[in-house]
Amino acid sequence: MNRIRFIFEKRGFAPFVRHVELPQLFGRIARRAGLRVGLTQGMSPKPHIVMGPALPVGVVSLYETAEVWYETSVTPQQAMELMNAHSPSGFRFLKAVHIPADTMSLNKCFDAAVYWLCPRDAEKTAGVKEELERGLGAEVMPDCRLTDDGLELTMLDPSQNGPGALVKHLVEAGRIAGWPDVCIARLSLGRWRADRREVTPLL
Amino acid sequence: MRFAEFDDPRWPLIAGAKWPSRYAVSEWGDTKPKEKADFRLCFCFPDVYEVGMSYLGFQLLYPRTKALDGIDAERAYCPWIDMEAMLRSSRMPLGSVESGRALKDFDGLGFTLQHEMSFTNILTMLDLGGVPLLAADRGDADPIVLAGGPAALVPETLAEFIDIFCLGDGEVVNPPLLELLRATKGQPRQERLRAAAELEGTYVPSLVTCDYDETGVHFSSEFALPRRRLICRDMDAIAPSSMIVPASGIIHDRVAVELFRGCSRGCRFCQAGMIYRPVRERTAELVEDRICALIQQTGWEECSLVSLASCDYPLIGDLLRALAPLHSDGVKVSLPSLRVDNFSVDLAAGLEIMKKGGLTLAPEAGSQHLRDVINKGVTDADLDAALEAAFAHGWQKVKLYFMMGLPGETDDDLSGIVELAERAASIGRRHTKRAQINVSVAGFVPKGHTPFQWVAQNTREELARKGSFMKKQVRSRAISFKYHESEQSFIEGVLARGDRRVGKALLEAWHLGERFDSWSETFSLDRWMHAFASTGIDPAWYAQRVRADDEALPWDHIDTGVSKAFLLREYQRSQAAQITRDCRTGSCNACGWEKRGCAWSGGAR
Repeated sequence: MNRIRFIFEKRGFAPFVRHVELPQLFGRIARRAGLRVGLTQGMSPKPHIVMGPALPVGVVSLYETAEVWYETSVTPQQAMELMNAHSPSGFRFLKAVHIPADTMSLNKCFDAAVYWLCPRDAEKTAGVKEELERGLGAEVMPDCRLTDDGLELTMLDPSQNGPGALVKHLVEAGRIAGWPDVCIARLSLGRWRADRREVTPLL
Repeated sequence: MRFAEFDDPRWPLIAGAKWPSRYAVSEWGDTKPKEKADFRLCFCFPDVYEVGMSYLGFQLLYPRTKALDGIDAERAYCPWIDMEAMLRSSRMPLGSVESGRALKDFDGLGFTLQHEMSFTNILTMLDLGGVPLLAADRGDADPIVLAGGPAALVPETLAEFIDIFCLGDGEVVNPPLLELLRATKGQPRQERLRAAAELEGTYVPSLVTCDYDETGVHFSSEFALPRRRLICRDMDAIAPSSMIVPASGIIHDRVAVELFRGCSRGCRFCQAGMIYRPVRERTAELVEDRICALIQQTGWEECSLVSLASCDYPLIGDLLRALAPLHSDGVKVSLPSLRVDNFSVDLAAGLEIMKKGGLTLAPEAGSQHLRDVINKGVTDADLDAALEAAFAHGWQKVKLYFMMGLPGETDDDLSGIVELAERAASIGRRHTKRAQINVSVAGFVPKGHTPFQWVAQNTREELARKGSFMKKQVRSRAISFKYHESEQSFIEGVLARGDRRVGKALLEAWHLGERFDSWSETFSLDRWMHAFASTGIDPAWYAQRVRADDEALPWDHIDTGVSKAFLLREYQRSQAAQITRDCRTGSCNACGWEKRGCAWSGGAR
């Protein structure tokens, strides 16, 4: 098997495609591209595709991760080009590397994610920052900075703490009414470097 | 914003919707709008996206329309009630999924009328799109509103809302009509409609007047009546070579390829079996070729061989064997309409490539007498053999589909449904302790252009009694017995055989808030009854009245190719429980198509 790890983005309306639908989508992209994907073991074999930490519907991303086990012999660059040529609008593969079969599973490769967040009412930005820092604390959100156009914040343990937690907290605190009131994008996934106070991206 | 997508005014609405992927569409396929087009058509499906994208018709017509010179096509779907409310509160018009262009800014809108319970959604889409609801209120700048599909052949309920009905196969009706509308763009609306009325396969209701008396509905027009349905005779010539694949899941998430159009089995309740005649088959080589190409083009991992009775395709076995190599690439094939016999079940189970989903058999009626009345052509022996084969092949659950309220039905026939289910459970238990029989009973709705177009629909009370009567008789714990609520069937029955006057009640029901009538969570009988009362319409007169044999019916001005004489003959044979054999295996039954070049009318192809 040819295990290839991808970084891809979800732009346009692609963020509204649910995370759980992505393995099937990528299997279809691969079939269109003429790339054969290996099947999982078990009673009902599925294309062997593993996704990184889930992203809620409606969150833009510049940095999503996936691994595909190809039966076809193909270089990462070729796979990326073929997948891009057969992807629906909004999905674009940005990086691809070959991964040895015995490498640790994808979801053990991260402990942090970086997000951009901006309330639709920009005047609420400072209040939102204050609320998140107070409510979530440094154990969940070790970094949060004001930028020219919103906030950039780091969340630890992205499988457990994601945009859903941010929105839930802000709604409970009365800062926003719900998802329509806030714009969120995932900027990066990787390892939190406390000494540098930054996230080292996976690839 | 740092990310331009957040500046799209639709984004906050979509983010707040119950099911965002209905509106924020990500697709694979050639959907990019042409930069320049003289005539822009928006195909409108009057239900939500995941239902509409499962409809094969638009998948077939969309690329063919985009391929026409100077003409482009986009698509729109009916927003669910939450999105409708958000669009209204934000004063945003309903637009196409491709460009967001408002419906009012298209040159033409093409609705498909798959069933009557979508009619209120047509009004929702027109209204949200900024298009006047009534055809009479539209001006030269408004889009021409077209409608096709099976319900366009019984069009009078919608006559006040539609400019041009398209009668027959869109592949042949649409190109000359769209070309005419492109060429006449800018001319007065009335002149364009008159020009469209000159074409075959069209019906312009504003140019046809109707009068009512005790003998029925009488149509008159300066244009030729009846209006004739057009068909495509060469199915190979219109085989699809591409499909649009949504990134999100839809109801029928697979390649679909027709084996043939039409059905000659002659089930007397079945509108599709009458209005899609004659049978026109594709060659097996072409079907195989297109399936392989579409699997590659779409990436879908399943293919459905769709037709009204796919197992009747003479080369079905050869075709499935030819497709078998696709299984090594993880592809499955499904047959959506299994015939009730062991041949079909063996076929569905015999090859590794066949998808082993749930097995549904449709005996339709519980007694041989009633199956003869409806000309189902299924015997108890067929059914037993099919069930035996199903359980022998390892199925543990079998769904049996029936109707109640059929003409001439007695309580003995209804008891027969339960007896049949008990027998099925008994057959199942011989193979497995886990045998489960799911029985589903729907209320029969008589439809126009069928031999039962004259019969009375059962009242709601009668259908409720019948459902309860059967359910009380079920003894086996292996049987799950469900019958449909009769309220929606009642409204469907009124709309299905309505005349222009019913359109007023439709409009009123919509004004009262009626939406998505085929969805039980949004349907309200109270609203409908209020609408009937306020418009002076007696729904029972439309649905629950036996029509005289010689009554002038509100769809007599539409010629499907099947003659009224044949339908009446079949109606009379049903009253004597006489079966009529399939003309593909027996002799010609002179349905009307024998005079128009039916391939089987001579007794052989």
